[in-house]
Amino acid sequence: MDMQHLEPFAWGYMHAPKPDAETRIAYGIKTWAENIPLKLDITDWFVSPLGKMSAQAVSYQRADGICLNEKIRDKNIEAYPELEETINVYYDYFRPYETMRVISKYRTPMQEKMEINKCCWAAGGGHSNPDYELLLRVGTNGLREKIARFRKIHTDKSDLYDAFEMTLYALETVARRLQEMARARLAYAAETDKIVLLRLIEAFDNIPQNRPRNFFEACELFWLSFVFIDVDSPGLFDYALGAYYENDDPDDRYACLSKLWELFHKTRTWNLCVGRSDEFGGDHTCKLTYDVLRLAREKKYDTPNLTLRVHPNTPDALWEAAAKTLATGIGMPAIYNDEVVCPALEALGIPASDSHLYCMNGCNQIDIFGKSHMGLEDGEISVCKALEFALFNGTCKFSEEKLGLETGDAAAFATFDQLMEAYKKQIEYMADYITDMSNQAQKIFASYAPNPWKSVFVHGCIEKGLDYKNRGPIYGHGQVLTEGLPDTADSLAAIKHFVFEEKKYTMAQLIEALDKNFAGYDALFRDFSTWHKFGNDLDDVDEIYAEITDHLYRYFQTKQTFRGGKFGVGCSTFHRAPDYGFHCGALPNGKKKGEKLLADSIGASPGCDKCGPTALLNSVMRANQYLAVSGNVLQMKFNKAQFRTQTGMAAFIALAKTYFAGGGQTLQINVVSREELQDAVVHPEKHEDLIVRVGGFSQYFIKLAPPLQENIITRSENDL
Amino acid sequence: MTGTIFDIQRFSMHDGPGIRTTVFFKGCNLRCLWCHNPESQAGNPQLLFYKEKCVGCGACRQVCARAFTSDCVGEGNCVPACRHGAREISGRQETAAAVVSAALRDKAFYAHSGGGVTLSGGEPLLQSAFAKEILCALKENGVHTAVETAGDVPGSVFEELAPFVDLFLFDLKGIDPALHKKNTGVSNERILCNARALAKKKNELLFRMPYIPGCNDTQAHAVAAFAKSLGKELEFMAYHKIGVGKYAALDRDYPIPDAEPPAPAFMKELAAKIGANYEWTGV
Repeated sequence: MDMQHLEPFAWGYMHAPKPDAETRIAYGIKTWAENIPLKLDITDWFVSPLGKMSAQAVSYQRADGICLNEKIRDKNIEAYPELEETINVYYDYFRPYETMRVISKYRTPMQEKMEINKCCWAAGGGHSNPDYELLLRVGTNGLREKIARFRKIHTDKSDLYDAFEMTLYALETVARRLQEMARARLAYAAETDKIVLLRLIEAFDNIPQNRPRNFFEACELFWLSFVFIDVDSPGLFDYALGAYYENDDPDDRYACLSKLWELFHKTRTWNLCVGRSDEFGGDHTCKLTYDVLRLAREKKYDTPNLTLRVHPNTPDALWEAAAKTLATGIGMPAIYNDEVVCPALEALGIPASDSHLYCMNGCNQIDIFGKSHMGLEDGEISVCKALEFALFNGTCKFSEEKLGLETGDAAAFATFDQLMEAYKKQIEYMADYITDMSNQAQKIFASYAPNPWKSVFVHGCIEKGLDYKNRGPIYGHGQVLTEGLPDTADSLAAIKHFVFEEKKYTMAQLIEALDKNFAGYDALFRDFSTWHKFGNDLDDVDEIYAEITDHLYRYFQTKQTFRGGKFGVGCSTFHRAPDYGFHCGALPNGKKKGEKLLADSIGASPGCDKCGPTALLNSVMRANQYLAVSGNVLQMKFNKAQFRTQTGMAAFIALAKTYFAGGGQTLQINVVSREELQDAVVHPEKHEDLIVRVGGFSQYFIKLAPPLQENIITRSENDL
Repeated sequence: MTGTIFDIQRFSMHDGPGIRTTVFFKGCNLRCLWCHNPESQAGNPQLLFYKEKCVGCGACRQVCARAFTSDCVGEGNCVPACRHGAREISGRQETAAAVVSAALRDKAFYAHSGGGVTLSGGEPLLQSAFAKEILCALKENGVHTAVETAGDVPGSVFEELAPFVDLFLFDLKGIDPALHKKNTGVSNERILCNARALAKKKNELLFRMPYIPGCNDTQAHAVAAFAKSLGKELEFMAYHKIGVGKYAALDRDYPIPDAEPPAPAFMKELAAKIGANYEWTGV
């Protein structure tokens, strides 16, 4: 064993002819492509050097740049003791280049404290959506021609263009090696395998250099490049592959799609987006759009993360297909509204022709397919923390350290406006922190972990002669996520009512109560925790929610990203919400210190929406979602009964259409499972918002008599 | 003017077309054995007490001496005093304007779904002036209106309200007068008479029959024939047990403890056989 085979990426990186990071990484990729052991798994149909990159001690990763893995290093030493010294030399060589380590090295102690105490965090890595449509249209030959054209313009960038080309060569190398393997395998393969092998051999005669000739070849080329180095988000899937699908043999294409879908699932592929409109409102639904939804329904996998884009001209049949897929309870597709997303993007200066090429990335981040580097989480802000800072003059109640701004003793605030002003200052202070931290990380990525491979597939990089990570892509906006907007609105509404309007309590009393985690303040706790909550179509709290959303979203857009755009805001908190909740002290909405309850989306705080879905949607529609340039997720829960009948299905679709017409951006639908219903019996307090629709009217599940609850649980088992 | 209602239910899907808001009027002149909203029968506000949630802390007694006695008049002072959610007041006075403004909040949803507002109950037509004011205001706002009724009111009430109602959901509980009296406490003479008169009007009219095994199941064919004779559709609503818990909360015995919901497949078959509609709604 030699190092070229054991750690091909590292070997190439170290032996590159030029010292710049782009060349080094491109050489790493090239050596990797030439030397990694390949596996030809014929049952998968489509082949690619799956996951081999991350199986090395030194690797290049999508989210984290250059990474070191001590465990793999130790394993290698164990397997090849004679190489121990060399392996250690390699490993030590890369230590100063480990991207995430470099980022943390540059963090100030204050930045670190903000992050540890869950006030906010920031990063610069993340997801991307290469232009697979382009690759499938022109092949690597076409891309090479494009590079050649721009070489003539940027004559000083020949090293960079060499690096770009090197990655194309690497892809072709892997394809050639796979074809050779297939040829060799042919001699002893079983008859059934031979069919697949021959198909692959034939395909590799054509791809990746040229345009695929059929859907099988298109899938193989897509899969080969998709997995190359790192699995991420397929992006506008039916846009890239729809034309190939449309005219292929119906049985064969569906079989190909199924195989690809299984591979997506195996590799835990991120966001796959179908459906879209163009800038003239034209609908681009195709056969592939429907079959993706059908496949998701049949396979019931939890990945890829499926997104459906809708608009006023979305066919009814597509809505129905989406509802049927949701009815399976897989929680997908997430539904995005072109009518809100596109104008929001256009307000950032993206022309309509490109805004309509948006797709989702990772969880819910927005990217312009093949034209941007913005589909990532640049940072996250805990809005509740800003309120905590405002109430405690900058003190974090988790660590009892002064992490926020000193906005004055809140006990002395005489008006609600004073409190709001203090809160907004804290938000702006935190936003400045986040954007600084993020830009710092973005710069480190640009210099330590450029991505010549992605640069070839994202418009702007070749044209400008700049790497994907280094302001190459046409659009470089950023995305910051929020935590706890609804909880903060609830808190502010309660303060406004009890302290400044009814004057039942003073600010000093409230602050004392929060400081003591409500101990000894039973009456105050009861009043505050039971006051109007966001999500029930109540004007007072909804207005506050709209105001703080507006302020937050607009403020971030005044900040510039290193990548050459603006910071935008969205909300996709999910599993992280409890952690942020835990790190907040007692809140005026009744959340106690140590409790984890925080809203899991832009919707109501857990269990607080008690007036049904129309009321929740009315509340959420109060906020201006045209300011959201990242996924602004609203999660809703339905019982399966909702989707069991035509009436229920139609009502759901009308509900979604009303929300979207009223300025809603995103819907994520959970169809409640049997397990959740069972949990609601044991822990009713956690499921106060769970509605079951039974016998012509709806009821909160926890209010039903126990035998009926049992009845519904039993029945849900047989649903659908 | 004001009236007594006990609930405003948003996102209703089974009381007329589309997404609807259903306003439940309190007070009914029928006493159907299977009634799933027993709190809707009396016209005045009533206390519902959920025994299983009570921990016996006595907080209710501190605010009202009548808390655990039969002298309760439904004032509801004990409700906020109870921290365990064991007490609930059913029934409140609302102005027609307040009901209308609550209903209009979901106007956009009605427009996208072909929905609207349904007055239900109880028997909404027992508070006909209140109902009329609500219906008038809704029609002025271009909202589709429906009234769900058992039909046992003077014919003049229908005459008066019909211009403001798009759809009547008319309950028929049986044709045999004696059986009807036994099941609901009243004769069906006036009901059938109103049904015949209403069928001649231009309002949309849908007959609905609660199908209760052991009570009125023998009436299915006769009711279907009656609807057919008037040229109107009939929809079956299958018996379910959702209201059982509420009888206990009102300290009443459940009148038909032995009845069992019919199987959906059976209902479907029956409906198909006699030309009625039936959509399984979950129970």
